[in-house]
Amino acid sequence: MVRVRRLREVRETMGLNETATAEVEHCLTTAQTAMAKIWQPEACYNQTEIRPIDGGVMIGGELAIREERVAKRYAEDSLLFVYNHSLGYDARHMMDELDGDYALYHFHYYLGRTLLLLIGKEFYDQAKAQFPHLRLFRFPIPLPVESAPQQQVTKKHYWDPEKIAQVLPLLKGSRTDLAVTEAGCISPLFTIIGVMLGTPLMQHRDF
Amino acid sequence: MVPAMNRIGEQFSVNKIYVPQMLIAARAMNAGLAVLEPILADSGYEPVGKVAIGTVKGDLHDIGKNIVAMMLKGAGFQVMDLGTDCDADAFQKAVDDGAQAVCLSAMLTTTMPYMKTIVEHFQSNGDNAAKIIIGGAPATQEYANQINADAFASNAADAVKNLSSVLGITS
Repeated sequence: MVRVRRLREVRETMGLNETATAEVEHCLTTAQTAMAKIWQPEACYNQTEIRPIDGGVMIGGELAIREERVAKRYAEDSLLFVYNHSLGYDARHMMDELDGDYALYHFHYYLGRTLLLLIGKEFYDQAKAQFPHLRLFRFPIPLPVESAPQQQVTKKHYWDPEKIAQVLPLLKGSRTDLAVTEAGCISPLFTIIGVMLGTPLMQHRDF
Repeated sequence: MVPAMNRIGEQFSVNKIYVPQMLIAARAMNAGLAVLEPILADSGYEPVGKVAIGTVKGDLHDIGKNIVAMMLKGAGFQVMDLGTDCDADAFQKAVDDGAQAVCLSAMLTTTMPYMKTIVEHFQSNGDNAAKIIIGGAPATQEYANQINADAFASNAADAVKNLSSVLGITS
């Protein structure tokens, strides 16, 4: 919702007058050009071992995911994929590309978030085409993100940083240099990691 | 330009304008400053203050921090932007280099406690010269009081106002 609100604000700003329209167009175009120069977009996924455990599933042999939403959808012969979507650059790199212009950086941020979600959509569409016999459920790993409403931030509903760090080795083959801080931030910042459960259609409980 | 940016800040703080409007206002101001800076340099103009700003250790988020930095520049401050994931030593170096205040940003409850570490770092050094102001999604005035920070800001406009206040700067 924050992303949509920001995009609406950009649109309303463009509608103020001709000068505002030209300025916002310039900012978006400059940011787009910078992104096209340095981004290395990636959608990577790896199939990994999965087995049920009490209250969740065990993936990759040693990582317990005790989440009801995953356990609820697990069925015999389910496949489990760990995935990442990333724009492949860090904030500092982009800031350098934009000559330290904070305003341009922010306009780039709006584009970046939107592109990341589009990468996710394309990834899902391709996965559905590749595994037509599976019903796919994606569970993005909740990471601390800026702009989250304060009441959400203080709930501390995010994964343990050590647990997030355990996921990264399962993404072998990813060309993005993924890292996690001790606070749970993922680098590069424009990155989503998660697990995707593929449940055979005939075994899914809806059937 | 400074009164105009102050007005922008006030309108932003009461949700009369949005971030994109503030951004293009700041770009207009920066374009003006680019013209004026060589003239000001020749005239011996001094910034109203020198401050350091950064997101604390473990935290890579910088959107809010960048907005504050931009507003501070607009208000006539010389801003040393330390970036993200900054430890106490980075802020100490900035103070050693002349920063009169350090602005600490944290976006996560998990990184917010490091603000206290930085305050304690300066206190243990007996270095009370630099003022410390905190902000970010999980930060509150109560937390600022609890860790003995000099000020708290809930948004970019407040950051300029409260920082000016603790430094004794009148517009």
